[in-house]
Amino acid sequence: MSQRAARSCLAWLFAGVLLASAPTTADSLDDMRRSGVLLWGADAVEGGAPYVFLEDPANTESHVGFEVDLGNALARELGVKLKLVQNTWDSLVPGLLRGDYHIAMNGIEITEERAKEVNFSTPYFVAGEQLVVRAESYELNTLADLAGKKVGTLGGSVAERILKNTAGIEVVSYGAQNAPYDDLALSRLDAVLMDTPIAVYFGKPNSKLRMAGASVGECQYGVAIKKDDLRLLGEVNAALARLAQSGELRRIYEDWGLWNDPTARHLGDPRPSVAPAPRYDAYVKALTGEVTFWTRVKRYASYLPLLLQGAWTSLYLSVAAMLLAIALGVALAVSRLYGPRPLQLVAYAYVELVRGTPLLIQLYLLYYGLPNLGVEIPPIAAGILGLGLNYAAYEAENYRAGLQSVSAQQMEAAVSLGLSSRQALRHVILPQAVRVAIPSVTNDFIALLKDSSIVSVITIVELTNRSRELSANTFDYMGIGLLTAALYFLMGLPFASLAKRLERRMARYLRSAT
Amino acid sequence: MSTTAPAGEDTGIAIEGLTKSFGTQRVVDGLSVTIPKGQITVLLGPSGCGKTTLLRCLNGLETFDSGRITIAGVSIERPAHSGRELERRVSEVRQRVGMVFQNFNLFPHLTTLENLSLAPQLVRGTPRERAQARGRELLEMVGLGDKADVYPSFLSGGPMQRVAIARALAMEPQVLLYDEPTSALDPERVDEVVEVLRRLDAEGITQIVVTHEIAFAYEAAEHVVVLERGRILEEGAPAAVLRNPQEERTRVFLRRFLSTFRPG
Repeated sequence: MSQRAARSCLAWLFAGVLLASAPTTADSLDDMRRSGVLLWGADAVEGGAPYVFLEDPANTESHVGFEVDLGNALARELGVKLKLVQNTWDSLVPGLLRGDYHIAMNGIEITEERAKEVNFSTPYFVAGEQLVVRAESYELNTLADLAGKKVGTLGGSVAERILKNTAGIEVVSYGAQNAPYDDLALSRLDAVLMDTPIAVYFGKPNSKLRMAGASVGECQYGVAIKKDDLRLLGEVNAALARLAQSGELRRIYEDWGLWNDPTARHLGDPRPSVAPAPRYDAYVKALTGEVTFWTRVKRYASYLPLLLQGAWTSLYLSVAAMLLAIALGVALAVSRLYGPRPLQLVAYAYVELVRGTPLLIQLYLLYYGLPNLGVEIPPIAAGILGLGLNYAAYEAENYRAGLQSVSAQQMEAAVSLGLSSRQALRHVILPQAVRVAIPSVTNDFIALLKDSSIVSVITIVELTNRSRELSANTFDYMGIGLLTAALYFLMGLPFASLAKRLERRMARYLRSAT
Repeated sequence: MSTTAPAGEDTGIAIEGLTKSFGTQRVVDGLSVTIPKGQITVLLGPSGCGKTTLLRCLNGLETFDSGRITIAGVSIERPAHSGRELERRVSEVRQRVGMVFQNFNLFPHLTTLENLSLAPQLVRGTPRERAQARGRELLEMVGLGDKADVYPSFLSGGPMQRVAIARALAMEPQVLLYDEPTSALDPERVDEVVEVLRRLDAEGITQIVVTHEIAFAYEAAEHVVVLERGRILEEGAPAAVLRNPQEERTRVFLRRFLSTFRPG
């Protein structure tokens, strides 16, 4: 959780500092009209039900949720098609400012801080904060009953702020919305306070839990739009007004079982809701359905193509990044040991600077920061570049150690034979250094394979991200976790054994090796 | 080119006023000497006398401070030559002057044959086939014809040093420099190296050997130079210098070494 909170802080920091001075471009409305597509940024991976989630976890195009319905209605009103662009929730606003999509809409609460970075549409939904407790906790019904209790919520949310402002409550903040309810059912928490849609979808269907009392507080969800895009903002607001007027908005919320008093008040539509909620019923049915061993096996088999697809992305990203890291690492190590003084300093500074700063920040700079200077790099290239440039610093140190392990007399012997120092380096020193460096390089590659999951912050969906998406949509952390771990292990295995063989082959000239 | 004389007109090695300091320590101090062509010259002297530094100056592994060296038809004058010009001349010298080290310094990742054929291919552009054929001849010559595909670490010291000499010979040098070539060897292995030196002597290669083994000088040298504190103490034919030194300090030095190193 703290990682998510930290990431969130970072994302907002970058949004504020780096993109505040973003160059003025044409209104995104023009771009949308030209392409005929409304690009919508949301997190279908961790956003979860009922906002945006996958109806069939094995089908990444099967997005459903009340925001999908709303997005489609909005697009229709604007005369274009809707296209979802996946990004992690914390990076939604930076991605919007970078121009990856036209709007960000994913349960983003309208707050003062956020309103400094982006414009918000009129609220499309007003959520309350709903208390959920264990079914047998009759004594807990209001915030006042929670003194001395442990209460879970989502980090950085309005609910969290309410809890922190209530004296005597021990607040536990989470990164995912289902986890607090699981912990509550397991008695690790005494209560959970979160936005009503989440409580309805994660607390209510669980027979061990109950919704306690009426909702408290209010938070408004708005469509986030770039500050410059005033015309798009106007069009979105007009479309929302038409959807409210025609009753379509109400029908969407009723379908999903989300129609509530705060939204009714906000939309000025006081009629009580008696409509059925087919989407909610379907969701609950799927959730509580019987799971036999065979359906489970079949389910995993159906997830496998998705996970393999993610694994492939992880693999080629890592291999490409490692090749870059090795090439640059050799250049850095050689510069540092044999280059002229200024080059030595540059190599030294590069290694220390890159090693001394977090990979996450480097990726943010590369992907969300550089567009500020007019340099736009597509996600995959940014991922390869970010990981490669970062690992190059570590590789440089490996090779430096390798090069230094080769006796200086080898260089003397080579130049005495008339070789130039460049030839000596290439044919005498490097081949011996490589052998020494292989184990640490292998180590780094396997670390890189796993570290590559960090690129999910720049909209790339790889193995870890796919795995999170699947487990968030199926609540099966154990099975999918094991499957994912096995895939990583299997991916690293051939490289480890290849390295071992290479090492043995290269050591054939050492007497001790035979 | 003015700096180089045709190979045939090589007139031996002339060292004039050579000075080299490490920090404040003057290791070679205005030394002048002429090394006769086509002979085995042994540089003797107590440790720290500057003999190894002198040898390393001869093929540019050390850059001397002042003086002039003319070797294999190339002359290097300091401080007149520096930077690119110095580099160019040193590189010319190295292609004609081979070096053999105390610890052999064979390339461990290459077979003995590859050790021999690497430099001719890279420096002279000799085709691989030819470089390897020549390499085999040289291994044959030093008595290691059957070890072409063996890695150096599988050889013992004597054969390693013979490979190192063959490696230097592969570049067809006019001069071969030896830095303590036998001091890392078992005593019974010394002879096989001396044997190779004698064979090369017959072929007319100029050889300079730094050693502190008087026995080696007795056995192999045609010319002996004794150094002390970076200067020439005495030089001449081995019989004269070793048996009947003119200088008192040579006598002291020889006595010390004879008592320490000469068995019986």
